[in-house]
Amino acid sequence: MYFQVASRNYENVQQRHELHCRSNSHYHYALGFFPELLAGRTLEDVQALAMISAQLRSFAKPGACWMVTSMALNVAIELGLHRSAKCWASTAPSKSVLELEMRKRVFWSIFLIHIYVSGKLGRPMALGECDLDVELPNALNDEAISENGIDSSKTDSCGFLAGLEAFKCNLIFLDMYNSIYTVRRSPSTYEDTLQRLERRIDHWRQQWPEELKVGSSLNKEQYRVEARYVMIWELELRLLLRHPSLELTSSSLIVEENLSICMGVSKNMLEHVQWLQRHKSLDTNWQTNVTYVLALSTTLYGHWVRKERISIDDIHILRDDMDGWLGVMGEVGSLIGKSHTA
Amino acid sequence: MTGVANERGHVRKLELRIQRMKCQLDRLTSQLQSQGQDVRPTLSDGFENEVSYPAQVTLQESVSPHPTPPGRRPFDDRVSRSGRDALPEFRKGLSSENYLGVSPGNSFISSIRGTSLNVLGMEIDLADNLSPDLEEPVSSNGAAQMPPNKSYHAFIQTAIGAGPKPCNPGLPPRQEAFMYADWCFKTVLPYLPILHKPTFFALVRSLRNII
Repeated sequence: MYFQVASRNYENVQQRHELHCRSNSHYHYALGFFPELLAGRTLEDVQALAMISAQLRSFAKPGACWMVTSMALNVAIELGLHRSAKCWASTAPSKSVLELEMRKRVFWSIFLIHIYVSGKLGRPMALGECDLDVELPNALNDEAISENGIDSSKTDSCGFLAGLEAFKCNLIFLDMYNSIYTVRRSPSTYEDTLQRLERRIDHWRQQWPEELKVGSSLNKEQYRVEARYVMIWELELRLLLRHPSLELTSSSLIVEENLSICMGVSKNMLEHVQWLQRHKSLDTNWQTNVTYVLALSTTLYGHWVRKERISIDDIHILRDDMDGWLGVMGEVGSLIGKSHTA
Repeated sequence: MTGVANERGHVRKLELRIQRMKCQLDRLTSQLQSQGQDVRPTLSDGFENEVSYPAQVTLQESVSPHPTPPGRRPFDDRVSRSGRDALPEFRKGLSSENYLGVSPGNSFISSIRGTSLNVLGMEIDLADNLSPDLEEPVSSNGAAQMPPNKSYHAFIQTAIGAGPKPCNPGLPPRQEAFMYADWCFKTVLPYLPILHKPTFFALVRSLRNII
């Protein structure tokens, strides 16, 4: 069943109708095991639920994504995957290194999807940072980990460096959604929260591995796409932190600064997204699509607010940026099979 | 236990009085904020474990937590204060997609609200006009059988076993199977490392041996 669950993910890469139907068949066949997976209560069952969550996350609409991710997270919590292995009593059966690492990887993966989807839909976060103490996975190549332990002679690089950075970035998203975007937020704490979160982002950025830094000599072929996505996540955080829709401050200086930063961030994001477009690496799920529209609309709004001081050059740049974004959204539309109405 | 004797209902009266005072405090805070004053949060009164309940105000009494900054462009007069703070219209048939978070303070641009946002009076919703593969049932009859597509209803139908049991589409041919698995480990799993590569490929090889 794992293979079934895994194989349908790749069939989605192709956009032909026949492959879509095959993909749906595999997806629904795997989904037929849902009650057994919920009742199974093993790590393998949670892995399968995580794969189903990953599949639903990739759709062009939210659908059942939030519901499935929440259920997967609940089962993971029931198994204690959110807790560090060091917390278990010494009398508990010991787990192999492989199992311990997989517990961490599965939890953080489900948690990543949950936070990202919940934030976009304005749903409450299931866990706060203070509710979990499970460590981040070790940056090891899969070949180096087995039931018997870690084989230090296997020196290939970790295959999920981007995932690790996503897990760290996810905690900053969590902090932001629980402060600036929470339903009972307070304007009086916005400026302090902004400074705190930006310090967290700066600290996160400073510890990126060289392989994931755009332009670095260690940024090899296999990491080039991942490095761009890590950059886009950082830009998305900065955009959401200072977005002009918030209006959580009465300081006109901060408002103006926010708008300038958001416009710069949106332009920067366009460059990275266009790189992904040229390299056929666009992620077409609804969460990233709506982020692109956010950046696009922020650029438009910024120029509209400043229309009294806009120059001819600014208009040309704006037109180029809009053409760029429309090109990206056009390709996204064709990849997700947008229907054409009369 | 203070040992002090009080009349019957004394505690209840105190609770009601505290509730009224909290409501009054909220109203005064909001009035100050609407005049552009920055109001610090209420200091803790020392009861660290006190449970704070939502103020018992009705919707028409709620006021915006967003102060209008001085010198900013005034908002569209057509948008009332309560309209500005309102969530997007709740779409009954699309509960999976309704945005339930914070309302935009700015009527000219919103942040992400699920699949949509608003900019300069235009509502952009990426969920409009998507392929039939994602469509929910048209009729209000929730028991309508859905084709096995990517919709929420189809998911529920299959996951709880309400519809016909999906037939096994079978595994792809060997070469294709390994190709798809390889794609997965290169495109999806670097971001969501849910599977252990050697274990997974050992499973795949064992499956091919069985079939």
